[in-house]
Amino acid sequence: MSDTRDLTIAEAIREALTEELDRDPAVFLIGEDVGRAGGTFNITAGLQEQFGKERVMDAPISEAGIAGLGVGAAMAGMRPVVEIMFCDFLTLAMDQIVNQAAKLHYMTGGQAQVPLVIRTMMGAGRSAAAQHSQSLHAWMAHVPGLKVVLPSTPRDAKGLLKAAIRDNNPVVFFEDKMSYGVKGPVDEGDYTIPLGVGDVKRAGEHVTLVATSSMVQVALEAAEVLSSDGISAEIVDPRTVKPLDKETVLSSVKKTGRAVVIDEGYLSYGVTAEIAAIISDEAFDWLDAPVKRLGATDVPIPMAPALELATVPSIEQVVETARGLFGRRY
Amino acid sequence: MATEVYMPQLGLTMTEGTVIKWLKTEGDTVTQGEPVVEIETDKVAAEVEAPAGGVLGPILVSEGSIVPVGGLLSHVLAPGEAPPASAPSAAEALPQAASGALPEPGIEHLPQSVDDNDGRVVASPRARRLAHELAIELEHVEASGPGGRIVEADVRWYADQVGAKSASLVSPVASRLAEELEVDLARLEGTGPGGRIVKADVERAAAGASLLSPSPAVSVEAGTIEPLQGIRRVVAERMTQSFTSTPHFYLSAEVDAMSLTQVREQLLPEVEAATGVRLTVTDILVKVCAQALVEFPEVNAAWIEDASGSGRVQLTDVNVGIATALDEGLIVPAICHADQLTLSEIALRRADLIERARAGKLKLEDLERGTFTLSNLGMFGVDQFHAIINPPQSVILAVGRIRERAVARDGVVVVRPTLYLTLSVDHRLLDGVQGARFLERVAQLLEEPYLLMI
Amino acid sequence: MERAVRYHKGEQVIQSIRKPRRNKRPEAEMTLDNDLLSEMYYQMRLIRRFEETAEELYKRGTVVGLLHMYVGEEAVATGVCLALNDDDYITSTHRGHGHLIAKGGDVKRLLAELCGRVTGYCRGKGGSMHAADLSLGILGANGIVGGGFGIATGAALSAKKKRSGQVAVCFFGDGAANQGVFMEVLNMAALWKLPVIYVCENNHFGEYTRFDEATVTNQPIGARAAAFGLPTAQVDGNDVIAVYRATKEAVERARAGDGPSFIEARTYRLKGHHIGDVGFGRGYRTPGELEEHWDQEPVGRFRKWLLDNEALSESEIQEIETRVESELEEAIDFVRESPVPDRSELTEHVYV
Repeated sequence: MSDTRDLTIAEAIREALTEELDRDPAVFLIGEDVGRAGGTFNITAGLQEQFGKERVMDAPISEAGIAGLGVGAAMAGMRPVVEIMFCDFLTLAMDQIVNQAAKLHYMTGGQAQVPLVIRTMMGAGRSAAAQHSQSLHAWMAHVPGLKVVLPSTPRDAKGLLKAAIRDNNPVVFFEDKMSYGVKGPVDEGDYTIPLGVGDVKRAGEHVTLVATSSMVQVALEAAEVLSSDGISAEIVDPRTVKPLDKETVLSSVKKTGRAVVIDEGYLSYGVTAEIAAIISDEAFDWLDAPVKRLGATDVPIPMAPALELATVPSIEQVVETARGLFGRRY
Repeated sequence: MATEVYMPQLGLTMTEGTVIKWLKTEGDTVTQGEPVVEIETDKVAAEVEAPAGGVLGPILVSEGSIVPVGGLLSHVLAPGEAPPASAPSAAEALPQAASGALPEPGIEHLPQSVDDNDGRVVASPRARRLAHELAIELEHVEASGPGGRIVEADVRWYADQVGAKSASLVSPVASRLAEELEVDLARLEGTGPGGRIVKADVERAAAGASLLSPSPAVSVEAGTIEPLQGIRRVVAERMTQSFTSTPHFYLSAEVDAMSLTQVREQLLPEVEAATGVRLTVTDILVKVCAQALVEFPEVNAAWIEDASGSGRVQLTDVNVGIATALDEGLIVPAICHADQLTLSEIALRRADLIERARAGKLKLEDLERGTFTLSNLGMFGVDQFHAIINPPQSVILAVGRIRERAVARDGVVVVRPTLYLTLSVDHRLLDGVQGARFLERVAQLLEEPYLLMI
Repeated sequence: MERAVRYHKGEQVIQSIRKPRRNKRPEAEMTLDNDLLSEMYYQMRLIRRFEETAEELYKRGTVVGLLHMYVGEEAVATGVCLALNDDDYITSTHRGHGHLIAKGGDVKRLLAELCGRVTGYCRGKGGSMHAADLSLGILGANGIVGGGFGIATGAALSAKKKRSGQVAVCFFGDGAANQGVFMEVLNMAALWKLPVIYVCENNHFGEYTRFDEATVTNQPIGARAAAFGLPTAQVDGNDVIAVYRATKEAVERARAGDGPSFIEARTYRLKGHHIGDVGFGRGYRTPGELEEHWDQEPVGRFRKWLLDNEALSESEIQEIETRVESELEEAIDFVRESPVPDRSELTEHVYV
């Protein structure tokens, strides 16, 4: 077993990129400001110096073009890691991602492979306003052929990114912009965490909190509050939203009988709806209460902190929602 | 304001009643005192009256259900008033005793109980599943979940309170005994009526005997077994219970009946003139026993078992029951306060009771108040017999026929009319001497009836 | 023609192996020997006859879906693709049969794909608009107008990184030249000197709209590429040799590391946008326009040129034409014997 040390999520991601660039010459990074500037959040700092301009490419502001290049390069045998700075900008590259990358393997009857990773950022809380604060991973998860990954801890981030880069399918990797500083133990050296496998972040008895990305941390803190009420919460982190590890979620809910699904995408028509539907369908007879969902409020995300913070599921909301599932006897 | 219609306590020992027939339905206007539902307890049907005038609310318990005393049957509402939304009160109706079998799993046995949701029981799927597994009817379960939902914990709580098996399938005695002897009720098959687990089943299990239903000593053709019904069934149950759980001992005495028969003959025309009723030996027996009970209050007691425990209860009224045979079975109407009645009054009461018994018109109070039972089989040519105590009483006096018998007197054999008295005694309440003293006094009063004048 | 039998998931898949191609020809060789000319005519004739066959089958209901005919543009695909090696990349358009055939694709498998059979290039899952043969560098026809820009440029990027000497050709139409991503890739290709050649087949129509009604014509389309510093050429797209020569030049440039080029091949779409196209022949063509262009159609024109220049004899030409016919007959037979995909294939190939 290798040593672990505490890294931030940002450092863990950088470490993953470094190790993969080193390991496989087919891997290269491309994106806006990723090279010389080291990325808007310093994630890729130092990589261009280390690996050169050919391996770490600064691209013009052409999301569609960059994503398209990524698709073509991947089809031709490379393993590009494309950065779309804010997931809000995925909109500009939708054709390349949705109509090309996601479908080429299928449309060509298995001939083409698109081993492309798109790294992008989600999450509100920076007063970045409506076009820089969204979490649009549900859109990606909606498209057959894509894999969608949302790490919540440094350890998960490193392992999952490595796995994504080595995966032969197009993977969209969502990093939470507010969580880059979250610290945690990370194994040294090479390891991967398989895509499509969830993780129980906290064991509990009375209610299952299914949480993604930064909501895992929120859920953990809510669980602390709930435990002082005598409610023991179990936290399931799917880690990969598509394909979803249903089994981990379902076996937890079958144990506890109650579920709250928390995700930072807009509440309507998103990840929470999908997971809640699966729970209601496949764990129906084990439910002691209806399945609850928490997501970002269905409004364009406002700038003013007083308003913005109200759109993101909070610890208090999680606690209140979970409490509301219980009567006096449980 | 809604007034509860509930299963009343209609007798000393009544613990539950069966709903036989609803005379009114939801929405009917009722006046105070008007009968709304027929119930049966032990041996006879009685009527529950509306406690107030108004509109009858939703029927909470279906016909055939067994409801414990205090259990909610319905409400009387003011016109336009909505029935109370809360779940059934704590004295819940026990699950219906089917004819031996548990409710069929699978296809719908929709609970009929009421909640806000147009009569649907609100329960989580998890609770429903557990209730189904434990054969618990959800309408009996109290809801603690948000929005009045029954949750799993509620079903568990109910199961723990009422017992893992439906209570009506286990007799209280067997249940307690099973706990003492650490016998798993869930694994037993009941041999009592309706598949009820009785004490004998538990004892057998504890002794490690085979748990299968006792095989009949004779081979029986399929379809020839007739389950007991009605009074006979109740009698069978009670006698079994009494016989197997009460430690009986028996005291016999032969009593010279000469004075007894003379007194009867002399009083016969007087009583008839006064009451129109022919005085019987039984009437005199009643008077004698009543007097003895006054003198020996320790005999006027009952052995009571309930949720709080078990033990002796001193009875104050002297109500002498007379075992009476009907076509349908044995009943014991009681003459109340027999110690305070004259012989004529006793005769009158006795005749009335018997007549009403035969006509099926006895009231519950006629049957439930007995503190002592007198059983006279003399008219059938029985010399002597041991009767089974009528629970929860302490004794039962069995009287045989008056017959001329050869007895020894002053060293010579003479022929005298005698009768045999046999007193069955519950040893938990009385021991030999106490029983003997009582019997002795009864015998004395029979042989010297004039002692009753003092 | 040799045939190889491959097994894919237990099923026999017939894969054609073509005769060795002109890859061995030194790049600088520009002379057009009879082999090359004969190959050119063969390809053009094959494309034309394939399209006509497909159209017939479509009208009979054997070919299903959307079909966009390449009739009238054969010289562009042929001229470009014969200037490429097998391992060079092309991206194609929704009107992609010609590109695939000219690049060396197998008409049997293409026809089977059009008919939704499991023996088709894409096991019936792509159809006309997504037909691809990765082994020949054909990165697929595309249902999105301009969908090939990013892919071709990315393939060129990979070639550069691999230092493989491969080039990528991006076929697109006059309509696609108005997509924003065109400009994005021009910029990046020029910036990074990518070995990509943008071949604009200006066939006069973007769907149902005439070219000059959709696009400003104060400058040729190539001006857009020139603005990014790309060498541009404008050729008669119905002259296969002219197309070939222009492509050869661009290919050499790319292989030498000098970056991208642009070629506008002016041609004419003799059929509608797709089969069943509304208003075909009416509405968006002027009277007599179609007939006029039929008179100049490239296959017949080249045939005549070959005979006039004694490059090929009539019998040699007829031999080619016979060969084409028998190939197509084989293709039709192949389709007839080919099963449709099994239901179980529905969920295959979503992920690798």
